[in-house]
Amino acid sequence: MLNMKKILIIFVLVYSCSFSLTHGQTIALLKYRGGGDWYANPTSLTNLIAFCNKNLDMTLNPKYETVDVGSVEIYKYPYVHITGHGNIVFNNEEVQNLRNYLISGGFLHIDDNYGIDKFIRTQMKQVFPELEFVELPYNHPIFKQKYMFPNGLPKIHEHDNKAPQAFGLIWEGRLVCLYTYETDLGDGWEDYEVHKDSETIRVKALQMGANILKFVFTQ
Amino acid sequence: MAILTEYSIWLSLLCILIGVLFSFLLYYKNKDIDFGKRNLKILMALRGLSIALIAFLLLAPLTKMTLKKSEKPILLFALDQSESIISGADSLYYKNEFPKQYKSLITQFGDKYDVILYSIGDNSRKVDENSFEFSDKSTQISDLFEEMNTIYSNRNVGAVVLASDGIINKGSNPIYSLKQSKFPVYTIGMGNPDIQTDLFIAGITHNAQTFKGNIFPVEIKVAANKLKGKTAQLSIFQGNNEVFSTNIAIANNQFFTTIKTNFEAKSKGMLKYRVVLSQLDGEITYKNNTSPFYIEVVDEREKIAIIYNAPHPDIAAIKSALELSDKYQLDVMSIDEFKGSLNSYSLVILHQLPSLQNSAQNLMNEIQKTKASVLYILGPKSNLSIFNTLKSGVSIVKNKDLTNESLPSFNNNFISFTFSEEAKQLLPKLPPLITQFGDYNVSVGANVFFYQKIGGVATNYPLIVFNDQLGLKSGVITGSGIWQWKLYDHLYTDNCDVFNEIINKIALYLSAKGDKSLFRVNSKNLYNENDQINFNAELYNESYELINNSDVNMVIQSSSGKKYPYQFSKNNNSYQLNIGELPPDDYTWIASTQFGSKTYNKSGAFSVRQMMVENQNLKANYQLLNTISVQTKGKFYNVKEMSKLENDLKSNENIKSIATYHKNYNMLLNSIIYFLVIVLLLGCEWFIRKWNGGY
Repeated sequence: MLNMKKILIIFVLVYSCSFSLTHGQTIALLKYRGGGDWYANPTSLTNLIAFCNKNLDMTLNPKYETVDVGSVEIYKYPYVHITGHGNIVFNNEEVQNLRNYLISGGFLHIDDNYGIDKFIRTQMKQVFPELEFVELPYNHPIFKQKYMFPNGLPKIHEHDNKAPQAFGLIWEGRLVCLYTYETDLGDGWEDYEVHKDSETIRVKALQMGANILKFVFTQ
Repeated sequence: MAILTEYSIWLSLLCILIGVLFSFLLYYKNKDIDFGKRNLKILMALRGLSIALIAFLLLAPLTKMTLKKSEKPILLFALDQSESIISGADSLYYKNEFPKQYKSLITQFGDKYDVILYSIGDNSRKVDENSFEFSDKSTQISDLFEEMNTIYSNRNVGAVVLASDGIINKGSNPIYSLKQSKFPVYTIGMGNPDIQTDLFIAGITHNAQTFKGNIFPVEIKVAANKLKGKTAQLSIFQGNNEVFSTNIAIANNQFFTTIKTNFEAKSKGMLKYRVVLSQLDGEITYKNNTSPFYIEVVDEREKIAIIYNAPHPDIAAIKSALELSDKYQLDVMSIDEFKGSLNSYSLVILHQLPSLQNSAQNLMNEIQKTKASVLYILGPKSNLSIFNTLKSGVSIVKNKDLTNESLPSFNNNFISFTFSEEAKQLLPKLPPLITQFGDYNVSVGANVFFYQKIGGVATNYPLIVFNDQLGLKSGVITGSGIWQWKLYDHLYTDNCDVFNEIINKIALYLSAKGDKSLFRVNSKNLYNENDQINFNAELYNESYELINNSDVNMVIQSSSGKKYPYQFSKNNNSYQLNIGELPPDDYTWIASTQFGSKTYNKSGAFSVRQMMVENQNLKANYQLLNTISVQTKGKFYNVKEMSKLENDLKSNENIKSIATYHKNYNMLLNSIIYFLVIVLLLGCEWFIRKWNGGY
């Protein structure tokens, strides 16, 4: 009898879970060409989603999707994420698709996993030839959403002894692309086992990630 | 023709056997009556046949017929009717020579082809004969290809011939809609692909609305080609008064600059400005040296608060739409950030509040106290049991924790405000909102704007609904995910106008102070010259019930005093008037009706704005046309070599008639003949038996 009850509870849990999936918004990882490791940090978005759903009462789909830069599917996602260390190439079609998506109301977060800088800057110049990356000052609202970051981006993963910086592309007054440079947020979002970052560092990274999502969704 | 059954055809032998067995048992074994040898044989045959036939029909046999049909190849000629075609130096050619050449090209494809003519421009439309007026005020190509892909996808389309200058300023990039295209597109390049000597206004950016006393910014983009070293003057006029002037030194041959200035909104109403650039020698056209812009000035700034349970992309999207108008002051906050008091907000937008985690009691009390209008946006975190007590116009009985994907479907009886044709057309293409699965109860008097369409089925569940309770207005969007409408609007139309219209009209309707008059007229106050001009009117009796027994008349007057009389048509229980397009001007209107012994009058004004987009860019985009042809394995021709098209199309072996075979199945049972045969057989048998003294 007890067994029966247990099965029933599990059934109800699975049942309600599977339908709550359809509730929320899905965020996506951008898959690009050029040879760079777009798939670096496989657990990071999943952890960020779980953090936001738990602490900000958000309704994000627990699973993120992967989407091609040139795919029209990109319009399904309010936030897309780029990570990696290496080369990135956008062709004309991809440039046009990404530009239209961002102008229409989409958002791109580029997280420098170290080494992405020279590649992504030239590619984003193709997407927005008329815009320059501007540094977001420490008093920018993105640093004081749910969590306070009076000194700007937290440093997650030491690499080149440079200060972390946040850059943005601003289209008609709206931040359409955030580029977090020399911090490696995605590294801190990953499972503990992957990089063995301390809990404090990991929480800082997740809090900053939550700030980014909150800003993007309510800006 | 062949006969087949669902079962093995050998069973029909069994049917014959059953027939034989039956008649054998009846007549051979049964010797009560002597019919005579010859009659017995006939009777046995009749009975045997009828039984066998009945048994055979039980097998549900079908007849199969194969019909051959041959379809001529369709040649679809689409001609660009936009103004830009005749704005260049060769306008005489397009008015005189081109129509002859184009018509003669088409007549070459008489018998062997099925020629269909289309016009493109403001929209793509099938025509019996092309006009060569070139008067459309905008150009879109994408809708032509979308129509090809849907209407003609199963037809034998040999080729599409598109004659255009490739300058598009409406709809999405046609390359997107080409991806599914199955037929070659041959393109004819019209206009002039060279950079033309021209000074022009490339765009004007300003808020659509502002409030009295505000200083509002205006940005004017000015471009000049092949005019290096010249100096142009830019002036802005309000009425006949010059309110701004500056000189622009043109530094290079592909010059672009942005002029910024500020004006004060001194008086209420629709302010009309005109930007004028001086005319320089050698310009291809002076039409694009002047452009009007309108800004509506309202009495005071209204405050709107957006308060949310949790960050959600809906919030950013709604905020972006409301920010277009300077007349709103927006405050966006989470329920945790809500300070406890709401001061003079005319509208409060609640996203998934009250929520399962937060009943937001303080906030709800404050809203009630300040009598602000509310727009509820429901989602998975909404607390429906609290929501159902709020008298919002709808209550929802939750059926498990399931959700539906609900597409918007416009309620044709909706009259509280006008809704543009563009928006109605785009609506079915927008992605679904996620709504609660359950029973929806719309209270009497609530006004449904969009219904939910679930799994292709139209329901009477509301997706967006309004309620007016003793002057307290509320609205409900019963699902979340409206942010996707903004993105898809942009995907299909290259702008977010429809999304912005939906959000701003909702906000305007909800924030407006309740109109208590018995006669109300709704209209827009600014139209483009290619817009359909629409009015809605409502007449109420003393007990606030909609009636439309009386006629409603309207007189529209142009700025020069010319009067146009109209009468509204009756629509369900309200009134509608569509007067089509009007030339650019400022108009005033007076609507009047009589009910009982009382006469009601309403008056207002609107402006029709000249459309300038067709004159902004006059450099023909042959590259786009070429890409279209290359992608679809067609070919690009300059208009001068148009005649070559005839040969190329005729020698293209893929363009040919195709024979299609249609299989036609018919149930034998559906045919009355078999029934009659059985009746006849049994009837004959009965007659013979009676004749011979049997029964």
